[in-house]
Amino acid sequence: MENFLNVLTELSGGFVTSVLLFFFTLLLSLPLGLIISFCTMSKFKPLSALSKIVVWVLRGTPLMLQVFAIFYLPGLLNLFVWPQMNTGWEWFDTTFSTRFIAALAAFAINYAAYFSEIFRGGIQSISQGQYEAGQVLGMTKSEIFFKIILLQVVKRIIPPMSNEIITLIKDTSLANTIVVCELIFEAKEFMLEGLIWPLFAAGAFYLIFVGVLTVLFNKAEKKLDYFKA
Amino acid sequence: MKKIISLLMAILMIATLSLTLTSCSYKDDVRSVKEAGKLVVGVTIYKPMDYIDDETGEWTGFDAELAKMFAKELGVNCQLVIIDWNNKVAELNSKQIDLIWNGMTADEKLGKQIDFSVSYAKNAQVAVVKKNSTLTKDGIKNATVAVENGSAGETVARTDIGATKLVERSDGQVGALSEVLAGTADVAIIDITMAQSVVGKEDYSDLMILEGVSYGDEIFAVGLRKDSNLKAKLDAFLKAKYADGTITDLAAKYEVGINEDALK
Repeated sequence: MENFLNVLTELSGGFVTSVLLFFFTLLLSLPLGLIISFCTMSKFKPLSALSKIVVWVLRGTPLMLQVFAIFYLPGLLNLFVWPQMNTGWEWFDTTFSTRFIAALAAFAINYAAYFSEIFRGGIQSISQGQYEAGQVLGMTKSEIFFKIILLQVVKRIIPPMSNEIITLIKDTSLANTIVVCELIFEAKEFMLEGLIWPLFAAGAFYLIFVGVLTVLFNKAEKKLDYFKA
Repeated sequence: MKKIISLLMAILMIATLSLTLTSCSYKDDVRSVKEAGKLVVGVTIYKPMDYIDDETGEWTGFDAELAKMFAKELGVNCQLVIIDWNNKVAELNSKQIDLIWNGMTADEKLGKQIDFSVSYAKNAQVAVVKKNSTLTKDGIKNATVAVENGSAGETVARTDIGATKLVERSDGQVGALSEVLAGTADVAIIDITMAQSVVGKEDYSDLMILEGVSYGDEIFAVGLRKDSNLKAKLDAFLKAKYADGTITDLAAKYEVGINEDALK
């Protein structure tokens, strides 16, 4: 029993790291994805070509490799070394370690690339009539986008976005390539002691988290039901 | 206006991608360690070299204690970080860690990528017999040999010794020892680290390590970046700590076989 509680405590610690990585990745990759989607749709050819190449590279190579590259390459090429947090607050310093920040950077950029394509699909699916209606009402371009287009886009992209977001929480385990002590890392530590079941217990953590996410997405979809586009 | 903004964004993206940050060189490891105020040592959980003490929650072990002493000598803090053993060379060369100090076997292949300190410890296979045994090195070949299934001891018994009568235990090296104790085998071939920690004590007090017999020498060394100027300091440190008896005491405490020839 004591053993069981000990395992759960360790796993919870790892889960907190996974969830933090998840939330911060979303926080950064959603706006970044929107910016990339604008670049891809830009009428200025060099910019859209460049951002298409960026998206191709980010979607075309394994995330694990990107995490590895972002963490090790700067040092290997003598550019810079990821700095260590040093606030003196131990929990903060260990949780937001150099490794965590590097993993977060890799995740944010990678997911922004996927999100940008979803955004682009959503934005381009809104009919021209919506823009024209805005113009008739004398709205500026940015007013049209934020007041008319964006919410309709949000409703349309919820199903593909929920797919990506659910994948994200499970992808956080890739951060253990560079020894970010997330859920799977902690579970695997027990295998050194000969315990295998913590790995399956870790699975339950993901399952519950995804369950909560699914309920939230369903609610969000219902709330946005008034757009009968 | 819009085109200018687009152009600026394009430039910004290229700039971030190509990482055109000012590059600085870190060949002078001694200086960079002192500037950072800490010596970062890459380890894994590996008893008795590096592990976390259950009671204090602090890093301890043969290698960990030595690493802390070395950092103290440099006048910096010692930070032990757990690394993925497969990524050890990347960790070292990307300056995430300054040393690999984790009972690492120094072999030729790895030596092409990184430098090694003077070897401070060794692992080898030794023969364990009963105290009243008259077995000699040449006699092992024809004796009944107990080994752990799949261990380095088994390889040694089959290839180096060419033993024909093998007892393979699947319950660890201790199982091989119990064969000898029970008299069902004449000799056990096990790790020297393991042998030194249990043979001659408690349940195994009737056993001894056969003098002058060892096989398949592996040497342990600390890993450094190629051409690091930390090597001279580290080698001098290890030799000094051997000369004043510190390493010998630690070896007794953690039951590690030290590489006396290299440290002299």
